[in-house]
Amino acid sequence: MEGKLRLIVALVALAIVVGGAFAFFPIINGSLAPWYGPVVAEDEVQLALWVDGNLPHGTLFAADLFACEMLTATARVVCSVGGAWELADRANQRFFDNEKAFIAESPREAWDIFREYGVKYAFTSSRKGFYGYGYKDAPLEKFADGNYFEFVRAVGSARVYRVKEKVSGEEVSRMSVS
Amino acid sequence: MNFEKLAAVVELLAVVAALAFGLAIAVDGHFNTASYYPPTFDNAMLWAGRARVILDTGHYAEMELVFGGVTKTYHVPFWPALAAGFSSLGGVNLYWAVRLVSLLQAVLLGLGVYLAAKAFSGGSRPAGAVAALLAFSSFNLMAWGTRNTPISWGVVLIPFGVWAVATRKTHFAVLAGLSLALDHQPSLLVFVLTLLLYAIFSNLSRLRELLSLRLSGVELAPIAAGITAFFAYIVWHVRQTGLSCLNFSCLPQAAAREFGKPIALNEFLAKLPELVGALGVIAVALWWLRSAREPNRTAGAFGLLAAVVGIVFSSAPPLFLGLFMLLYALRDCRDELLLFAWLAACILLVKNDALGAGVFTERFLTHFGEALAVAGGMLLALAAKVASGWRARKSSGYASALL
Repeated sequence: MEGKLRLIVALVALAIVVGGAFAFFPIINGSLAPWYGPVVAEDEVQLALWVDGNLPHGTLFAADLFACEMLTATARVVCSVGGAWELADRANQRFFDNEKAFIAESPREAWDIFREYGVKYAFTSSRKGFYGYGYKDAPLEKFADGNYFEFVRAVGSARVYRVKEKVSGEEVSRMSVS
Repeated sequence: MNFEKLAAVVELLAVVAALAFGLAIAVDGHFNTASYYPPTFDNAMLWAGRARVILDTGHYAEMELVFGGVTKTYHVPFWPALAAGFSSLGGVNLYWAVRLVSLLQAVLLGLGVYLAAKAFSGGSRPAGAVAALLAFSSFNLMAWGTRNTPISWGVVLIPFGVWAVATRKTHFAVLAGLSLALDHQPSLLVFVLTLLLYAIFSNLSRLRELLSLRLSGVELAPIAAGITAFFAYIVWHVRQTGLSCLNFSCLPQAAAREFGKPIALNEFLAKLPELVGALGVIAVALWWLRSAREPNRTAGAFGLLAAVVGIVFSSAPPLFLGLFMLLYALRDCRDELLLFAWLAACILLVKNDALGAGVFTERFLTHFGEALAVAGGMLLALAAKVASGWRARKSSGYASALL
């Protein structure tokens, strides 16, 4: 291609790229914003860092899907649900039960489910959680029931509760399967 | 004035501007939108968790870190090993390593698409720059292509692998295949199917020699890359599952029938920047077919028409028939066949529900977006060729008039 034409084509390309970049940047940025969102709140991350330094690594936590994944990376623990559900052990049942435990009104119901799966700690946050099927509000007051759960630590609205091995003042017949 | 030198500088500026655009989107996403923590969609932090295990123990997490930590993992280790390596060798914490890998992916994505478009358009840098812009403007491609997850590396590696095959860089093609095998199964499927289609159709004319085991004319790069990729993954698969599950049902996405809803390609291709890519595909096919010999030209034209009809009317049979007719018509044209094998592989995988699979269809749009961006960028190179031919005809017309 002769020099003059090559220069014209190069200028056209530059104009397309610069013009296109300015035109597309706000559009693509707006569309991508939810995909780049951290979802987990800053206080949850801070609490996970505390967990990393103060609770045993590899412990089984229960939380919503995004907090669970954050916890595996930040607190080095294992969690109740996650995104890589393909071929996981009874993934649907685990999603279902995890959601049931968090959205349950009754602390006993949540405690029973956690004990069945061998969950040691519950990680909660005030944001809408994705516990299994869609974003849902969870009645978190149930975790304040000292018969079943023990408050461990809070950062902002994020909290960690230990799942008691036995209900206070009651013999527990149901043993953990973990 | 030296127009050639000036043109080279402007071309370079266009390429840099295109790459800067992609980087700006990724930087804004990581440091403005995500800010205090890396993005978490698409199991992103779970992959970071796996990287963390490598950092802490020096070994890959053989068990899943979620769902109670009781399932042996089927996921492949390339991406977490890469993030752990960045953290360890770079002396940065895991969160910075994750971000740096993601930013690197954004730049390499643009570079890969640029190189592929340049190779297919006979060395046109402007075509490569426009292709990179189109890639970065594609929502599907950017949503999955610049994440802190393995699919992003898969999306990066495919155009590099295709470019390596196009430019006969066998070692790069093999390396891309090997990395894909250990990075992301669906991306591996796109790459291997592309190479398979290319290898089949490019060898159709010499079928008789192949049957008598005369292999002298067979191209090494696609076959070496395809076989390496396939067997590397099989080795990993057997390592994880043993010999008990040597079928597709043990591929995670296949087992879970993930994202299997039918895709309306006519709607997908009607939006920008995919529309530019679709126009590029048609223009490129027509341009190449115009110099093809009969009966290939007629077969290719019918193939193109059938494929367009299949897309417009959302009908898989004419679409698939058209694609195969096009590939057949281009069987003796090397670069042309490779680009259309790439496009055909993506379309077959996007429309895999029409083949009875119905698995992961949406996610393959990400890979399709790359091939479309390459074809879209080539529109500029074609326009330049048309203009050049027109000018040449005009000058020869003047010369004849003077004579």
